[in-house]
Amino acid sequence: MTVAAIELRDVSRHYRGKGSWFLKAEPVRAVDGVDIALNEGETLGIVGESGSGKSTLGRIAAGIEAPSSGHVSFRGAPYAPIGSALWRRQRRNVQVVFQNPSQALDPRLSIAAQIRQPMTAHGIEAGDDTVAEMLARVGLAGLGNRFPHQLSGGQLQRAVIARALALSPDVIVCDEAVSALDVSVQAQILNLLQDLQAEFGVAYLFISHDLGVVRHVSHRIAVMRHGRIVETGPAAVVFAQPQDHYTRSLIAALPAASPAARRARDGRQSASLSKVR
Amino acid sequence: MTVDVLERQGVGSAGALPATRTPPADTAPAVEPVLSIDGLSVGTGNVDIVIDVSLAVAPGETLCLVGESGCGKSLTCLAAMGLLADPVRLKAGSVSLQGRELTGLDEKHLRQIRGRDMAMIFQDPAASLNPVQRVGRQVAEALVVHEGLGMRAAMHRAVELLDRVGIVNATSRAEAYPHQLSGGMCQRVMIAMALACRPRLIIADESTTALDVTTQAQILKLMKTLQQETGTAMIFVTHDLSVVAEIADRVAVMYSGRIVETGLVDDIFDHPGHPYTRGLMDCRLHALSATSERLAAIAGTVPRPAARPSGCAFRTRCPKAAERCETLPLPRGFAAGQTVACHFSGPAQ
Ligand SMILES: Nc1ncnc2c1ncn2[C@@H]1O[C@H](COP(=O)(O)OP(=O)(O)OP(=O)(O)O)[C@@H](O)[C@H]1O
Ligand code: SF4
Ligand SMILES: [Mg+2]
Repeated sequence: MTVAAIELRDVSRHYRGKGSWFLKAEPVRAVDGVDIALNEGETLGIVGESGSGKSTLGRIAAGIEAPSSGHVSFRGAPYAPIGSALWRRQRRNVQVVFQNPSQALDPRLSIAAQIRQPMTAHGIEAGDDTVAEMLARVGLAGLGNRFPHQLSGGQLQRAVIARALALSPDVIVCDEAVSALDVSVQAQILNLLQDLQAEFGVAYLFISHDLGVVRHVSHRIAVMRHGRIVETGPAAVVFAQPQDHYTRSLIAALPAASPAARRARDGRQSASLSKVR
Repeated sequence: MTVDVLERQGVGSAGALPATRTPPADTAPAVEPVLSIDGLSVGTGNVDIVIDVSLAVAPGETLCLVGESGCGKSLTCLAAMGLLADPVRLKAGSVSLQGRELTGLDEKHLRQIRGRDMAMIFQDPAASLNPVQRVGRQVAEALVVHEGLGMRAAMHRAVELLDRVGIVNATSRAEAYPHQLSGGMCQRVMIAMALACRPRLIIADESTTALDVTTQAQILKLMKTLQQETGTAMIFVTHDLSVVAEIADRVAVMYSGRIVETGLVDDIFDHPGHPYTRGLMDCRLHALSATSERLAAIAGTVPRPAARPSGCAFRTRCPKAAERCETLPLPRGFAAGQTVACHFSGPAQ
């Protein structure tokens, strides 16, 4: 039996809800009894609508937030208490890339300095050559001296990815990492993520509301709703033969891929309606 | 001849292209357009942001304006509505609504026209609804101003409208403040407001982008149904090509301030003529279609308006760029009803 890169067993995260003076606050179950495993070198996609708990799940998997109950383990060992020395070593192996790269970067530091910083903090040799190599890997060769405001959104996201990669993590949690990017730039970043996986065997927990993107990058997919996983399976299977009612309704709501696909769908719908009548 | 034209001819002989020899240079609808924009340029100081944009939309028609972030979609819409604000200003061109020239009208006249004859729905309803006013009242006010209804009659009609856009318990929801409603519900309120005076034109700027797929599907369906009932013309701005497939009759593709391609939605999907449109089509992802391992990404990024390359603005990213591309390609007929601004595209036959 191989050990999963990250495993969540019966994980829940409850927040205190907003009550009022006469109503007791109901706890919000952001994550509710979730079991998932991310295998080494794999991409596990997490889809769901806003408020379904995807980001909370991502933070718990990355070890930056502790669950209210349940077990989270990284390569078979539970996460150490947040802030401890062991936790910091574990965290080095699990990096996070969020939606908004400009918030993730320090506006006052050059891109090269920001890639160097976490390396130095973890006692990794961070010579100019190493930094230059990281930059080249993500297609930012020669731009190390630039400051964040001098780069485009796609370039900033590349810088964030380079900074994450500099620590040679085993896992990167991508939370809506390409959602704010233009489609052409999004395609570049998705290609980059796939190349890095092929080269270094990085596993991704890929969280997105965009089912098309998730289908493209993921080996397996988990569908989340109200804090729970309602369905998991290989990407192609989940979309071709969704088992869960909610997954089916998500897929049915997707806008058509082309005008021809839209007409085919509308034709099918009116045909099935006339059958009912 | 270029490889491109040969390729296109190959496609054409296979029957995928309409067999028109001399395509019209303009794809404007044959009927009298509700809105026509002609030679519109918008910018700040000496930077042009929107350049020489011409568009027309017919009654009952939906024109989708697509393109990447910052290409000037929103500014084109704002210019059409007469809503440009300093430092951005209209530099050239005309905007006419049902034959009436809007550029040069003073704010008082524009305000009469906005809401009554043309209405805009923005991406972020939270930012465009008044946070301290009940939503029913906000819808009613448009009716008081433009239709001269009394407040009571207007409130009554506002509730009907809220009901019409699919808000359940419209009577009690009309009493809610925007923050008490979900994003999808606020968007419905915006649609009700836009529809209140049965305008001839609705401009919707990314108005479903922030919504979840199920809500987006409901809103798109609602807009289509209402449009069929009222015959309103619609300009729908989006960067999402599957939303285009869902709602468009015609499409205009913008790149770095200019319209680079226009055509009927089927033609744009079946045989995009501009390398940029083709690039966008190639990096589409859809959950129901299996995708190849690697995406055909367009290299580079959209240039800022101040750093736009001379000639064809796409040439720094275009796989087909050649020396000729240093001069500006003018829009030319590509296939029937399809116009492409590229030196190496078309005519199709
Ligand atoms: N008030 C302003 N002052 C100066 N520049 C502006 C202003 N508003 C917009 N711009 C610039 O004009 C260009 C076009 O902006 P616009 O908002 O029309 O783009 P868009 O196509 O709607 O993009 P998006 O898809 O991101 O909404 C951008 O480069 C933007 O930075
Ligand atoms: S004119 Fe040249 S650079 Fe522009 S799209 Fe056509 S081939 Fe590409
Ligand atoms: Mg915009």
